[in-house]
Amino acid sequence: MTGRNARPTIESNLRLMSGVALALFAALILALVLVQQSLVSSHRTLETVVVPVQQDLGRLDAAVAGMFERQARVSSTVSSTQLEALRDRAGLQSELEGAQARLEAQLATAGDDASAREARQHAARMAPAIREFLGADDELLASVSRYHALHEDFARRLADAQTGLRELTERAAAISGVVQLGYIVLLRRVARDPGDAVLHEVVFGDERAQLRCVEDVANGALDLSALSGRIALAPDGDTLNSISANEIAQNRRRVATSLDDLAELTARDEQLAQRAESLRARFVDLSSAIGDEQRPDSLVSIRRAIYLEKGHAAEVRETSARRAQQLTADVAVLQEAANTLTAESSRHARRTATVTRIGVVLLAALGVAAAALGARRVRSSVGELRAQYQRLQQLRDELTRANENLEDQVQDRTEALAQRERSLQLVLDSTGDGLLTVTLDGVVQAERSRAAAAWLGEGGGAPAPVWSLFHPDDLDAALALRLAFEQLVGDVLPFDLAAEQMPRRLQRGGMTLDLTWRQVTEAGAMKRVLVVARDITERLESERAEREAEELQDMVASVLRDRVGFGESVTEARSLLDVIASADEPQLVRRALHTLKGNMAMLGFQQLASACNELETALPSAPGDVVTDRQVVPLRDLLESTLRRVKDVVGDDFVSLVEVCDRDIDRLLRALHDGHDHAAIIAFVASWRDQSVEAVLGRFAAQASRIAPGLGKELDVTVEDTGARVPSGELRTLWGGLAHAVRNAVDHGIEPPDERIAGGKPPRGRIALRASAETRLLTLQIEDDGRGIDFEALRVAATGKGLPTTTREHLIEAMFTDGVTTKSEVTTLSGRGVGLGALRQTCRDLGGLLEVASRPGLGTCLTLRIPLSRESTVMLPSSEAA
Amino acid sequence: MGPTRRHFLGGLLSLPLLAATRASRAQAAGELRIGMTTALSGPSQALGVGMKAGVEAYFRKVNDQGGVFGRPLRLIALDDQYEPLQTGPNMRALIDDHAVFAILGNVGTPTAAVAVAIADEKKIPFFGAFSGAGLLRKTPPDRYVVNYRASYAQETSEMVRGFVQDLRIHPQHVAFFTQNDAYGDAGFAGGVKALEAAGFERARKLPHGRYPRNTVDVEGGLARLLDPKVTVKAVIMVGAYKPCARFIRLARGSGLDAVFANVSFVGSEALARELGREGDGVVVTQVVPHYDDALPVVSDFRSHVAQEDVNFASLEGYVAARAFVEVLLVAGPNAGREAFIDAVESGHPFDLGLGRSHVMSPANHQFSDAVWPTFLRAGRFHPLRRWGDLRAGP
Repeated sequence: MTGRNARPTIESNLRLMSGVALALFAALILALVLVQQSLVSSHRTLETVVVPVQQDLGRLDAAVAGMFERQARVSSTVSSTQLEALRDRAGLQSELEGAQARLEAQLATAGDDASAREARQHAARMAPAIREFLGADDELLASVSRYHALHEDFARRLADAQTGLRELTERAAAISGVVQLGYIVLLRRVARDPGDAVLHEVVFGDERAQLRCVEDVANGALDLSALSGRIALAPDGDTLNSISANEIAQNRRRVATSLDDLAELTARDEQLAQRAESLRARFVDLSSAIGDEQRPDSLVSIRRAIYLEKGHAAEVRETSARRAQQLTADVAVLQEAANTLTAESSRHARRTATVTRIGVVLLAALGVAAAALGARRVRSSVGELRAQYQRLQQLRDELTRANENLEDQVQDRTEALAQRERSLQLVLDSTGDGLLTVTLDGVVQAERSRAAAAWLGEGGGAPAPVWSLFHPDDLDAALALRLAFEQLVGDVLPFDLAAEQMPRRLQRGGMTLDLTWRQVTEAGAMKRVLVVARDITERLESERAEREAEELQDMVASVLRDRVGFGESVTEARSLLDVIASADEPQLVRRALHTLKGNMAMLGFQQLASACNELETALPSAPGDVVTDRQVVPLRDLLESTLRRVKDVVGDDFVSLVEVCDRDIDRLLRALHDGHDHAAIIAFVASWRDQSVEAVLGRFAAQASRIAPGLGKELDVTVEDTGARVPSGELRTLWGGLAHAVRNAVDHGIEPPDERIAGGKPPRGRIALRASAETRLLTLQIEDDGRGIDFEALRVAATGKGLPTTTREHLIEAMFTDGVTTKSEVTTLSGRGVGLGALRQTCRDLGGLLEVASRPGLGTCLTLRIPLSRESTVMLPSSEAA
Repeated sequence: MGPTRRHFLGGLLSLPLLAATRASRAQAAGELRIGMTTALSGPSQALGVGMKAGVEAYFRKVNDQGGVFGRPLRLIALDDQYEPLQTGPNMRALIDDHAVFAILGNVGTPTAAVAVAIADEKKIPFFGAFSGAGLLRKTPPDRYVVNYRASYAQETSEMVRGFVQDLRIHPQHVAFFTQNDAYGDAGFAGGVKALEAAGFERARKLPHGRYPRNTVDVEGGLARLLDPKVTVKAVIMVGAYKPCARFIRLARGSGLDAVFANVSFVGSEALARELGREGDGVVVTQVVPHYDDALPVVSDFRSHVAQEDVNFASLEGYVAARAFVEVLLVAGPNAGREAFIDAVESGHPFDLGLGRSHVMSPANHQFSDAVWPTFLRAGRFHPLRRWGDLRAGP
C-alpha cells in the first residue's frame, strides 16, 4: 500500500479535511475574539464614561436647580428667623462641586476624539462658573440677611416712634386740659360776676391762643404719626423723597411755629412753660427720629437703605440666575457631548456587527466548499478500501489451507505422548506410595499408582474432585480441603507456603496416611498437582506405645517415690476437673486448668498435661465463655485411663495411707514405756491421721530437684519444719498452688549456672522450704536465691495490661494479676501469669495472707500465713525433751 | 411694708422656672391649681393685692379642712400691673405652663378684655373677676365667664337712684367723670342706661369729663364739668383713685359743689387715704357688704383675714373664692371644667353667707346684683343706708 504514494491516501485526505476544518475553526474563533474586543471597548466606553457622566450631569443639573430654588426661597423670606433656617447649603454645595469634580475626572479617561476634547473643555469651564454661582449665592444670602435686619430695625423704631407720638399727644392734651380749666374757671367767674376786669381778661387773655397752639401741636403729632405709617408703606424711593421733602418738612415747620407761639404764650406761667418746653423737646426728638435724612437711624434713612438692599438683592439674584443659566447651558452641552459619545459607541457596535455577519457568511461558504472537496476525496478512498478487502480474503484462504496440514501433525504427536504416559504408569505402580494427579480444578485423574488405587479406590467411575475422594462422608472436611486446594492452585500464595497449609494426615480404613502435595509444572506454569500418600499407621502406633511406656515409668516412679503425695495429687486433680467442668467464671476455670496442668506435669502425666495445655491455649480469652463438658470429658477419661494403667503396675493402695515417721514411732514407744496418760497417747496417735506439713514440703523439694535438670538448673532444696500437722484435707487446695510456687522458683527464680557465675553467685541455686506452726497459725515460706523479680519486665507487662505501675507495691500487685507474666515463652510447667494469682486467691479463701519480698539479683521470698481450724500440732508431754 | 413683701412674692411666683417646679410638685400632690393674673404692682396694686389676700385666706380655710374632695386648692397669682399687654402672656403661662383649672379674681376691665378671649379660646372658667364691665356680662353670657359682683351698670344705677329719688337731684344736673378706656366706657354706659331708664332721654348729652389711663391729667375733663353753661350737682365717677382724688380736690377748689360718687373699682381705701379730710361726703358704691357687717360671710371673713388686710377688695376676694368653692362642691369629685360650668348653670341655690341664695342658669352667670353704697367721713367708710344721710353730714 505504501507503494501507492502517487495518489492521495484516505489518511492524507482526512488530514487535509481536518486541516481545513481547523483553519476555519481558528478563523471563527479569531473573528469572535475580535468582535468581542470591539464590543467590549464600546461597552466599556459606555459603562465607564458615558453612563457616569450622564449621571453626574443629572446630579449637577438637579443641584443647580436646587440652589436656584433655594435662592428663590431665600428671596421670599420675610424674617431673619425664616432666613436662618435656609442658611445651611452644605449638602447642595458638596453635591454641586462633587458632581463637577467627578465629571472632569471621568471625562479625562474618555477617548481623544473631537467630541471628548470639547466635553473636557466644557467641564473645565464649569469649575469657575460653579464658584461664581456659589459666590453669588453667598452675596444673595448676605444681602437678604441685611435686608431683614434693616426691616426689623425699622419696625422696632416705628413702634417706638408711635409710642412716643401717643405720649406726645397725651402731653399736649394734658396742657390743653390745664389751659381749658383756667379758661373755664375764668368764664365761671364772669358768669358769677361779670365785672370789667374779668371780662377784659376773658377777651384779651392768652388762653384761646394757647389752646390753638396746643391743638396744632397735637394735630402735628397725629400728622407725624400718619407720616411714619406712610414711610413704612412707601412703595419706592420717589414716594419717600416726596414724603420727606414735602410733608415732613412742612409738618416740622408748622409744629415748630406752634411750639414757638406756645412758648411765648406760656412764658408767664412757669409750670406751663416747662411743660411746653418738654413738649417741644420731645417733638423735635421724635421728628428727627422719623424724618431726619441726615440721621442714618431715622425711619426715612432706614427705609431708604431697605430699598437699596432690596435692589441689591434683586441684582444679585439676577446675577445668580445668569450663572445658573450658564451652568445649565454647560450641562446641556455636556449632555450633548455624552449623547455623541453614546452614538459613536453604538455606531461602532453596529459596524462591528455588520463586519461579523459578512465574516461569518464567508467562513460558512469556505466550510461548504471544503466539505464538498473532502467528500469527493473520501469517496475515492473508500473504493480503494474495497479493493484491499478483496486481497485480504484471498490471503485468508491460503492460511486456512496451511492450517489443515498442521492438525495432522498434532495428532501424530498426541499418540506419541500417550505411549509415553503408559510407560510412566508402570513407574508409578512400582513405588509403594500412593500417587495421584489432580488437575487445577481439583479433578483426580484416572491414572494413579496401585497403592493409591488400593487405599482410595480405582479411578474408573466418573471423575471425582480430590476433596470428595478424601472425605466422602465428611462434608465439613471436604469443604475445608476444597478451600485449601483452591488456595494451593491459586496465585495468591507461593506454592510451597500453600502446600505447608494443606492437610498432612488422612485417616482411611484404620490407616493413617501421610500426604505430600507437589506441583507439576509444564513450561514453568503449574498444570497439575501431584499428591503423594504414605501409610504411616504402624510408625505412629509404635511411637505412641513408646510414649505411654515412658509416661507409665514416670508415673510409677512418682508413686513409688511418694505414694501419699501421688494419691493426694490425684484426688486434687479430680476436684480440679470438677471445678473446670462446673465453674462459671473463666478466671476460675483458667486457674484450675493451669494448676492441673502443672500438677500433672509434676506427676509425669505428660499426656494429660499436654491435653491441659492444648485446652488452655484453645480457651477463649473473652470472659463469659466457659469450658464445655465436651472439652472436659476427654481430660477426665485420660486421667482415669492413665491412672488405671498405673494401678495395674503398683496396685491401688496409694490413696488411703497415713504417713508416720520413725521419730513419731519412737515418741509413741517412749510414751508407752514411761506409762504416760492414755488420753495423751490416744490424741497423739490420732493426730497421725493429720497431714504432716513436713512430708508435703518434702514432696515439693523432691519434685523441684527432679525438674531442675530438665530446665538446665543446678539446685539444692532444703526443708525446715517443726513437725507441724494440719487437719487432713484442710489445706488440700493450698498444696497445688504452693507446688506451683515452688515450680516458679525453679523455673523463673533460679538462674542457669553460667548466669549465676557471671552474677558472682555459686553455680548451684538454693531453695528453702519452711513451715512453722504457732498454735493455730501456720507459716509457710518458699525462699530462693535466684534473680529476684524482674520489676522492669513486670512494669512493661503491667503497662500492657493497663495497670498502675508507679510504686513497687503496684508492681507486686500486678504480679498477682492473672495474665501478667514476665516470661515470653510459655512452658508446660509455668509461665501463663496465672499461678501466683491463683495461690493468693486460695490463700485468701483460707483466710490467710500471701506476701512477696524480692531483691533484684538476690532472690525472692514468698511467705504464707494460714489460720487453722484447730491447733496444728499435738505433742506428747515433754519427757522427750529430757 | 406689706405691699412690698407681696410684690416680692408676686415676682417670685411669676418666675416661670420656679413656678413650673411647683406645678409639677403640685401635680403629684393632687392639688387643684387656680390661676390669677392681676395688678400686684403699679397704681392699681391695692385692688389686686386685696383680692389675692381674700382668695388665699378662703383657700387656706378650705385647705385646713382637707381641701375640696381631698384636693388642696392652690392659687397661682401672676402680676400684670393692670396692663393689658402683660395680661395675655400671663394667661397663657397660667393655662399652658401651670395647667390651672380656672382663672379666679382677676382685677380690671381692659385686662379682662384680653383675658376673657383667651379663657373662651382655651375653655377655661373665668370666675369672679374684679370688674363690673359689660364685656363680662354679655347676653347670653359667655359659657366660661362667671361673675360674682354686680355690674358697673348696677352700681351707677344705684347712684342714679340715690341722686334722683333720695336726693331729689334732677337728672340733667348729673355729670360723668370717667377713665378714657373700656372701664370708663362701661361705667358711663351703665349710668346712661340707668338715667334713660329713669326717663331722662338726654343722658348721653350730659357733661362728661375724661382722663387718660394711668395719668392724673384731669384738668381737661374737669373743664367740661365746670362749663358755665351747665349746672352739675352730682358726679358719677368711673376712674382710679389718684385721678379721682385729684379731680375731687380740684373740682371743690374750683367751686364745684356736687355729690361725688365712685364705683367700687376706684379702690376705696386708697381713695380715702388720698383725700384725707377732703374726702368727707364722697360716696363709693360697693359690691360687698361693709366689712364691719354682721352677715355670716363677713364675720367669717374677719376671723380668717389679718386685720391689716381687711378691706373691700379682700372681702370680695374672700366671697368670690367661697362662690368658686361652692360651685366645685356642687360639681362633685374630680369634676372637669365643663362639669364646673354645668354646676354653675344647674339652678342649684348657692349660699355665700350674704343672707340670700344665688340661683343661676345658662342665661345668667351672675351670682350677685347687690350694691352696697358707702360714704367717707373722717377718712373712714360708713355704710350709706339712706342717701339723705349725706345732707345730714357733720
